[in-house]
Amino acid sequence: MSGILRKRIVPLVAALAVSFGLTGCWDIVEVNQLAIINMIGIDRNPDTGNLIVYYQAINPTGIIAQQRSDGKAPVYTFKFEKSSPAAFEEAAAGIMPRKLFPDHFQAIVVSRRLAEEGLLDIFNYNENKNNRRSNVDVFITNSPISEVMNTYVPMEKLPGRSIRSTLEMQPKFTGRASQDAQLRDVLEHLESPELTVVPLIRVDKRNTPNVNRLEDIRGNIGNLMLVGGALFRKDRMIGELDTERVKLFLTLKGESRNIYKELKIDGHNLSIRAENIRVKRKLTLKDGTPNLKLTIRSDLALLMQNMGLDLNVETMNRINQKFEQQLTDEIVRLMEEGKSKGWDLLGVAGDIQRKRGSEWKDAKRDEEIWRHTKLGIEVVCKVRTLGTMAHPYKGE
Amino acid sequence: MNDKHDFRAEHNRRPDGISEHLADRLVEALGDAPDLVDHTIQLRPSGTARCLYLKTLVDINRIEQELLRFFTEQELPLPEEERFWEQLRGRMPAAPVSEPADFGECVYGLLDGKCAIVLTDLNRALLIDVGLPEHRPINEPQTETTVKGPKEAFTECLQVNLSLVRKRIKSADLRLEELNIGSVTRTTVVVAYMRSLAQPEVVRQFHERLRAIDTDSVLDSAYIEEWIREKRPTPFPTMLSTERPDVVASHVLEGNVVVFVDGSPIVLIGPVTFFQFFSAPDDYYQRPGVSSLLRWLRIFSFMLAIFVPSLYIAVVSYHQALLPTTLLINIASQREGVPFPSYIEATLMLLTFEVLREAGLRMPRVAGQAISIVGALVLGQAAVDAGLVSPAMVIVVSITAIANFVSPNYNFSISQRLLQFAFMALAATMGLFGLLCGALFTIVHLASLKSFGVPYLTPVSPTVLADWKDTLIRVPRPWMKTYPQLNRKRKRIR
Repeated sequence: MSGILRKRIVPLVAALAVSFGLTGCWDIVEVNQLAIINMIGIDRNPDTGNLIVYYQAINPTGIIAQQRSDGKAPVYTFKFEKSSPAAFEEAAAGIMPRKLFPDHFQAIVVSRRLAEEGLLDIFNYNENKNNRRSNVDVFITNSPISEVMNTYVPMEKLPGRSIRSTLEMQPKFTGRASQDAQLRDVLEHLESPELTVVPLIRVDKRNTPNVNRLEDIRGNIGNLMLVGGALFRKDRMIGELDTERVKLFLTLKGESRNIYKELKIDGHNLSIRAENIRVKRKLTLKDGTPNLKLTIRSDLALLMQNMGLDLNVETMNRINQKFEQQLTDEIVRLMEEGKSKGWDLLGVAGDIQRKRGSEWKDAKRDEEIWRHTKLGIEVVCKVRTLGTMAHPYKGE
Repeated sequence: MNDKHDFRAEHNRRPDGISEHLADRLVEALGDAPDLVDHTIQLRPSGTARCLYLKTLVDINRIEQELLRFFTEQELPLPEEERFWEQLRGRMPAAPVSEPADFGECVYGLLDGKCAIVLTDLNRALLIDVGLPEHRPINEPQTETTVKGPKEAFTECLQVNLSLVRKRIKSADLRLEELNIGSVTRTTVVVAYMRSLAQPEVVRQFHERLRAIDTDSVLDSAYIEEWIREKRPTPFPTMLSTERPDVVASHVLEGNVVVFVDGSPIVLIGPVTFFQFFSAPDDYYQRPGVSSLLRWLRIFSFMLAIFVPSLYIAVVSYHQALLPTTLLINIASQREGVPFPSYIEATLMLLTFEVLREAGLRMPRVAGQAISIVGALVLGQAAVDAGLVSPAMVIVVSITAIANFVSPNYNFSISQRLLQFAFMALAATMGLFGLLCGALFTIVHLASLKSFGVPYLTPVSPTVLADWKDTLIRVPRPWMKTYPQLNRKRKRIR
């Protein structure tokens, strides 16, 4: 018996005793003891300088109740104001009856004024946490943040998931936003001169912070919508682009492969979608001046035309030329506008910094050299998809 | 040992242990049993004999028509003469005759269904085997049913069971060795194996362990299993038990050793490996592709049975971040108002299921319906509506319960259930870390386990690639040209 004791029981007891030092029962928490956070809103109080954080916690039974057409709230928003980002979890524990569980939040909404001030402290605080999440979408809001956070949205029920789903559709259908608009993408460019576009949203002002809004058939009312892009350099917002400019910017960065365009030929309107856009960049140095050659290739799909012309080869060529010309003009205009505002929208400065070779030595030292870049644009496109009607109805 | 009753070898032996008044002593020894029949018969040309037998164990017709006629109707020479034995053999060729060496053997012979002819004048006894034990007919297997393949199952009669195997293996190479175990029950146990295929070391181990059994009674093969299985404590069975003659035949033909126990319809097979518990008789009666797929399904079910409840507990109690948001919200909403932690909830549900299962096994069949109705209430929507359990837990318990029944071997499914509760406890105390520890511990334990000297995880560890053709997959029969190397067979090619 003593042999068995020594060989079997003693090691077993020892192993059990040691295991008490491990993560164990005291860390147990049931899912219904968690306040699952769906969306976080961040702002700064201009009077006190304190940070204001909104936690939008999911009410699980509210979600299920929604499915049963029982008008209970799917989310509750809690507002806290503290001087440091680290103080919010403690503050939340004072009012929330459940443990704050931010691991599942789907969106961070930042007020425009805070974005323009810079978000370095918040990014650093987030990165420092062991349960940090970086694949969460970041949004900048033009509307007051309290309105965004106190809005019930139809269909998806959870505002965080709603705007996230809206955003996820954009790269495929409209090109208005990139799929690289998450926290990690902003963090990636935190120490480089490259610009990032973060989706800009606003809320319809007719919102009602009441669950009755979910009974209203009018889907637009009080909904969150994408209105463009907030341009970020490092940790702060430096400007705003409207949706058309965002599309162009993302196309040039290679982050958007489809864009929708309207052309005019001989006074007739055409709707075109450029698909499978490929952008090739070639940066060279000639007499100390950077030369950027952009070659854009794309397939065109004719969505609608009321030209009253037959779709023959000549018409196709005219459409191709018109699209090429229009895209070139738009890019040049965007670049000029960027230069005037000090925005390196083509990311030339970043390209120069990555160049190797002694000939780039001087260029690397000159931080403003991107302004003198000579731009060469070549657009090559071809109409590939016509639809089913070569001769549109004329009603005659 | 099956030539034990060769009377040629024994008839000349003097019955030194037999004393006077043998018949009376036999009657006395059996306590004047009500089923003991004691005839006095008149021999020709002179002398008397006493015919004793237990009428509950013998074929009375044979005694009356063959035995008594032989002793009463013709003139008998003395047992010393060769003619006596020749005549006796000619009259009753199928009944082995022996002369007991002592009084004890005589008593045991009567209890074993033999008829004792006590030649009172000579004070000698003969034991003639005319036993006819009652047994039920051969039925379909109850616990190992198949869609295709033979439908015969073993019965409680050893002779019937041996015949079921004999008729499948018509080979002189098949060795049957008999011994009696149990000081009171004297149960006949037969060890069977193919002489040219079985590893001598394994056969030796079987013999050694069987001879070492020191007990008063053996009522079933499970008694024997407890004595001869590996001594190392383990939840896993280290012997295969089956009620199917085709399974026994196939294992014997692969060089394994089997143990028949008189009175038990379950036959023990050894050595056995972990992966053999995932193969079912059906595997060999279906196309190989289907068999392989089903084998994977069984392995998957084993994983489900062990890991589904524990994984659910670990994730819901410790690692909520691992769940997709939608699923998390769903589970959270379902758990609203449930008074117990997930671990208690799962344990209660599974224990209730085990209780129901046990009740279903023990209670009369006529009451089975009542159990189904109550069971559906306790484990179903009623429990959810009462707010005692969450619907997700009902699904988890149902998946686990179904997966528990997929195992083709009953003993293995019990091991599976033991592991299941252990893993649940680990998940409840240490989350995924506990699960990982449990899984590693189980793998190490399996790797260190042996069945009659054969590593339990063969052919995966140690790796025997040649044996993989009937482990995780089942290749077509024409490709199985060699015997499994499992226990290093002497003969390699089939």
